[in-house]
Amino acid sequence: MINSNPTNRSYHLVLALFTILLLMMTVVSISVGRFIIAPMDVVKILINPLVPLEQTWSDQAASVIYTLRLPRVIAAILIGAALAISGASYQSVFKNPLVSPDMLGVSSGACVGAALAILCGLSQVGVQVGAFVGGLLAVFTAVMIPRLIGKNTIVMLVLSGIIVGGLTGSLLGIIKYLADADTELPAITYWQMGSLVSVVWTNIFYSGIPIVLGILFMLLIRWRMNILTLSEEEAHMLGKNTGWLRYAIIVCATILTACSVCISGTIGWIGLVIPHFSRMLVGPNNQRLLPVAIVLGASFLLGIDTLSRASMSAEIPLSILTGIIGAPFYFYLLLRQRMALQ
Amino acid sequence: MQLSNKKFLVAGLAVLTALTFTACGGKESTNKQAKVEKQIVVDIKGNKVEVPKQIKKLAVVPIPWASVVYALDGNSQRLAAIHPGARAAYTGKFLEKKDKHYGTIDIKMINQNFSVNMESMAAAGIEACLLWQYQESDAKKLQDIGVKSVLIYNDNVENLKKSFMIVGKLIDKEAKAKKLCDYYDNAYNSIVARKDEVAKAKKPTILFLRNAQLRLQGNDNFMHQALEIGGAYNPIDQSALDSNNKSIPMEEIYKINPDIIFLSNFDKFVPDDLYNNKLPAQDWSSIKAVKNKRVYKVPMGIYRWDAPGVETPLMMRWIAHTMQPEIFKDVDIRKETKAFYKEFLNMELTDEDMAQIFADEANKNSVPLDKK
Repeated sequence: MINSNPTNRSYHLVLALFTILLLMMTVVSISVGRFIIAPMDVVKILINPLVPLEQTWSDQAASVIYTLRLPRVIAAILIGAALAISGASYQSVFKNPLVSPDMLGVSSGACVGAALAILCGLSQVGVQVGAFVGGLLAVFTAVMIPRLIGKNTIVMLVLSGIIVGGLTGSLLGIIKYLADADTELPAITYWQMGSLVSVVWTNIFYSGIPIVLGILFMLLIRWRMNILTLSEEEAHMLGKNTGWLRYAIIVCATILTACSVCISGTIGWIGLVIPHFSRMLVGPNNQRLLPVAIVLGASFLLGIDTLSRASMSAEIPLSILTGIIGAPFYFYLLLRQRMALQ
Repeated sequence: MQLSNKKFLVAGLAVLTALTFTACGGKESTNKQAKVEKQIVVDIKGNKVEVPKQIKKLAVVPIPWASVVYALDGNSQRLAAIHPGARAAYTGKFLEKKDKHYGTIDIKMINQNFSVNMESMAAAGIEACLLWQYQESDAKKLQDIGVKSVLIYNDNVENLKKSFMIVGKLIDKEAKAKKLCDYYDNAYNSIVARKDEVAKAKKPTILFLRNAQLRLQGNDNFMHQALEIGGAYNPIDQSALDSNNKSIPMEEIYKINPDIIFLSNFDKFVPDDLYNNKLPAQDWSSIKAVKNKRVYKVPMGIYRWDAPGVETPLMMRWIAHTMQPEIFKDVDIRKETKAFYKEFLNMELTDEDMAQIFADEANKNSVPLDKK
């Protein structure tokens, strides 16, 4: 029924255009960096494992591509997509376009988990596990509070999100206070600003697989997500019980975000701005919104991360760039929306 | 639903591509530079790293270790990238007068949190990189892109000396590294040799501050030990704080009422700030060390003496000499320093240099230490 909508053509066009853009950006991103590699060599290095070619490039160039750039490019695409789709689905669950994936405290919980792991001197893997567990725990707490109180409404969920947010903020404060100011504190601060510097192939395996599965799940149930945007009475009239769906989506979006931030640290704005922008392009129907949000989110973070690693010899933390670019962009979107209304 | 099928296909393809690349990544290792003479260095974690015998460009991530390389080489020509914190210990300090090149070394490739922009390093042609022992995954990545990475650590005396030797081997200055270790042992042994006298002596209570926010300094393994063997009574030590960087409340300072206060070079504060009660929300006027004018800014040369590094043995002697001037009256710390800088750093220190290293200006209102 939805597919017979006349705006279908423009949706396909938008999706196709942005998919092509993403593919082009991927190629560009692999080709640029502080270490100069001729574009032809980049292509050859990429093809070489499949079809062996005569080596015209240095071993160092091949290593730069396979050790540094490819894992980062893939991670940026996966994480950008995951954050955008979790943002979009949270916005459906809460019936509010101003919600971001951190509504129930997944990022701040992840921050506490990661900071605690850094404080305990755990390895990089320990920090990632800490972030993942911290994120899940925070959301679990936020979801349990309304059940304990016995008033299971959206407003209660929002309020318990605020409770969890306040708690994690204080916990993080304690950890920062206890941290060694020369070593651990900078590590925590940098973690909070997000970066893909330390991504390795094993991260892509352990986080990438759940991210891909989570995205597939969201795509499969996206038509049902529309039901959530109705009021509960309306949904009941349609004979749908929205309770389980809401939890399924929260769980899935939480896992997506937790898998992302555990390898990148917290990255702001994507989960808020990208769904919003996508909605402006193809409307609020989740059937169309989610695929567009995935492609846009992936492109956005890929672009940001490429800027971060290639523009200066120092690495610029991702949240700095997403904020500097994302906030004015969001302003622009709101302005355009306002103008369109008038 | 024909639409979502397409999307699955795209997603599937993406995963497939990712897996293919993973399986094939980083396996080539044909060596084109067979001419370069190589040697094997074993780092603190026991990794065997093959490095060129003559390293021209070296990056140093651990902050104090830039000064170790400086000391072993006698100059900074080999240093190609250092931590921003190492630059901070240079600008406006003693070394700035002596070595202009040090101020031009790149500080952007290494971040405040010790992470490294690896492509920049490869692009800059850096051959080897010193890293903290816990940075193993960074080391592996750097290694993959052709920057030889060597792990070091300085949590205790043994590892410090071991790491001196590793760096010595890496930059082909083994003999000098050995001399540095011997110098360390000599300083330590000469102080410990008087432990019976020190045990009998009256020990002044010490407070060693890292910054004006009352963060403690000198409770790592090195300064902790130096204070102990040098004959100081250090009531607020690490065990009482269960972490090495906690600040202590002013009331605690009233309680221990220190005889002597040391001020670290990690902060700009000087004895006059305490004498004139210039630090906000702190009243120092009733503290013994302040009343008796026994607050001292500690020395700083090519690096802060109170951090583990090449100048640590000098700091040990300075502490002993300050704490128990009677027992260590034969220690001529200034002459010793002059000789050390001549031997290890190729520097002839002038009186002006000496005054800067020992912070004579900052300490002018304090009871003079025996200038011998």
